[in-house]
Amino acid sequence: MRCRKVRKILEEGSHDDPHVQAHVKSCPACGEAAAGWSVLRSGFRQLRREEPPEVSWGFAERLLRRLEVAVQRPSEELIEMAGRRIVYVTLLITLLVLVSLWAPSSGPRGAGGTAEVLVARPEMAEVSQEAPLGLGSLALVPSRLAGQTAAGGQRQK
Amino acid sequence: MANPHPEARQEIELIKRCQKGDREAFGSLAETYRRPIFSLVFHLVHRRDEVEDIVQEIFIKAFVAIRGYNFQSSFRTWLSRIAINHCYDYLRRNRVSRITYFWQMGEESERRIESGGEGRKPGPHGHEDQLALADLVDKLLARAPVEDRIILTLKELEDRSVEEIAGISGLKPSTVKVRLHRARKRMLKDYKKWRRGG
Repeated sequence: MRCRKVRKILEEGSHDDPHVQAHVKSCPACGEAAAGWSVLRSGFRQLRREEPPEVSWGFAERLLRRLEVAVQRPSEELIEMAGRRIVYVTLLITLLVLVSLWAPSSGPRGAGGTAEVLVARPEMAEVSQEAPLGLGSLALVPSRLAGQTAAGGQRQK
Repeated sequence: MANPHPEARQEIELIKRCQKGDREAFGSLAETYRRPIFSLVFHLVHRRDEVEDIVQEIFIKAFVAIRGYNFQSSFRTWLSRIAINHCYDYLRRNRVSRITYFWQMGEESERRIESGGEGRKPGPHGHEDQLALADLVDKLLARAPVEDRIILTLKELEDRSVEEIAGISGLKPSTVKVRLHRARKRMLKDYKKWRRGG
């Protein structure tokens, strides 16, 4: 019998096979394994005999009480979670509104205001038409800057 | 399940009531399965003072999850699965505090093993020897990886069949056999290491 097969049989707990016993006597390594398994099996057998502790008085009542709490908890958690989300969304919307109020009215939508200033000062438009180096496009820049350019232009004249 | 026994029919009825949220029905189920779950948890965690608390937590988890029970496996197997998963988490959490070092395993066990002829023929102090062996195996189990501890407990202490273990763990029976073999081998190796003095 080969050691591998003997070890497998020993592991499964069959020591009584005469072939196994003969092999174990002649092979020190398998003998050591057999002794080890014997110790472990005895230990397991003894552990199996140990009785679990007795259930204490009122186990079922305590369980039912804990069940009641455990069942309530998920619904409370759900409400809490939903409430928290509502608060987050409200805060986000408030923040967006505040940002939009605080931000300057520039960009394409705010361009109308600049045009009005330029229309109010027609003489600047004339000056800018005379401006050299193609600065005629300054008709579209804000009034202060346009004024400076016009002054420069007059100096050149 | 065409014509089940009256007990089985009653159990199905109780489970269906639990699935509708009936706590009293669950109390009856817990009463029926209290003992096997106590035994399983005790063998797995081996701490008398904590068993009851853990069992209660397992039953609570089972009640919360019972709507998902589809009668595919037996209720005992389903409940055992919850118990195993819960104990797995517990053992993982408490692993560091449970580890027993070789030097803690004591010379007493060694002496008893020597005198008891490796446990084959108990001497005049046979019972004490057996207790020492149980203590030794318990410590070896505590040193083992949690997966090994669970599979060895189910097989060696709870005496469950490979098929039952497969049902509980959701593994194939062939995988259970392989894992059991590895766990046993590792335990024997650990035992030999201890015998040689760590």
